[in-house]
Amino acid sequence: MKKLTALLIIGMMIFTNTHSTEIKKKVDNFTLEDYNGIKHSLTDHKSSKAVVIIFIATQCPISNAYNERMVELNRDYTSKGVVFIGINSNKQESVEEVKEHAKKNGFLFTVLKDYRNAIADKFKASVTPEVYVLNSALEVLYHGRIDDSKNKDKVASNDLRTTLDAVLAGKPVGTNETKAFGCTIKKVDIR
Amino acid sequence: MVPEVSFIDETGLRNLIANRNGKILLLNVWATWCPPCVEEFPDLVKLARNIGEEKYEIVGISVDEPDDLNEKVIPFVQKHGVPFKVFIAEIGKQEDFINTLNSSWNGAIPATFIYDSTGSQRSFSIGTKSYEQFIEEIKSVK
Repeated sequence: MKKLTALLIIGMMIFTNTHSTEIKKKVDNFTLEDYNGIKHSLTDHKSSKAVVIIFIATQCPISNAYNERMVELNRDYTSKGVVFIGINSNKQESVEEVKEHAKKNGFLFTVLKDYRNAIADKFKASVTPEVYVLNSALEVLYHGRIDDSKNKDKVASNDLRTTLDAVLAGKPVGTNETKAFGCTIKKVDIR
Repeated sequence: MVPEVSFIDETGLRNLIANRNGKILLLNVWATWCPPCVEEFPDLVKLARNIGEEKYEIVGISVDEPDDLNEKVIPFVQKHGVPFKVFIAEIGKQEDFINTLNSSWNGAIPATFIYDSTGSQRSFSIGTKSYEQFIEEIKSVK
């Protein structure tokens, strides 16, 4: 019986270890211009503790419902070594519109224009707002929503904040994939 | 005439999909706040008017907030003269509702799901569709 118990414990340890060394998805570096024409690459942020990519839109009411929250997240986590980057991949939203939108909403983080949705396609991003949290090795630590309600007063699960707090504390990210309703990214027609 | 808009939960959604009565189901998930959904809506209405009720059933599921029923959803449905059933998703967790329809769907709308007459999902796609695309997709299901 003791031998059986020992074997079970060893078995459980092996199983646990398998999960903790799970291979994370990795993204390729990319370079895009912001709304002022300045180029930015993911590898510019190798010394950051985390890079948060958020696919956003100027016209999607759900994305716009998060403008204030994105400003607050950037304010709260930039000083802790987290970099926020917004990407606009919507074909009908011009770079001028992106610039105007960023200024109007007080975005202090970089917003890039993804012409022909090349980066959205690489990330397989399809909705706004859609978040990817990366580590310095460009591994995806979290993918999904900012939180679980477009109505700030009804938020029950602050998924992005929880993720960033875990990353900054050197702890494993609990839930690394979440979903929420949002606007489809309007992409160029590839037919 | 005020169009009929009712609430649907996950159980109701499963029953709706299962109870086919021999009809193919096109289920469109949309919201009044979603510009691409609003853009494709007239084509969905046109589809419902032309496709024939004997063989096909068109259903719209709005993911607007339930509180928006009278102020947003019903006026929108009235404006478009919607000839098909419209529900508002009454859900606990968005994720559960999303996964009930397709676990590979991330919640981007508009989203269109087509089920055959046995209730098996035959296609799932996101993004705005034209009338011709709706027709092509639904008619490809036998």
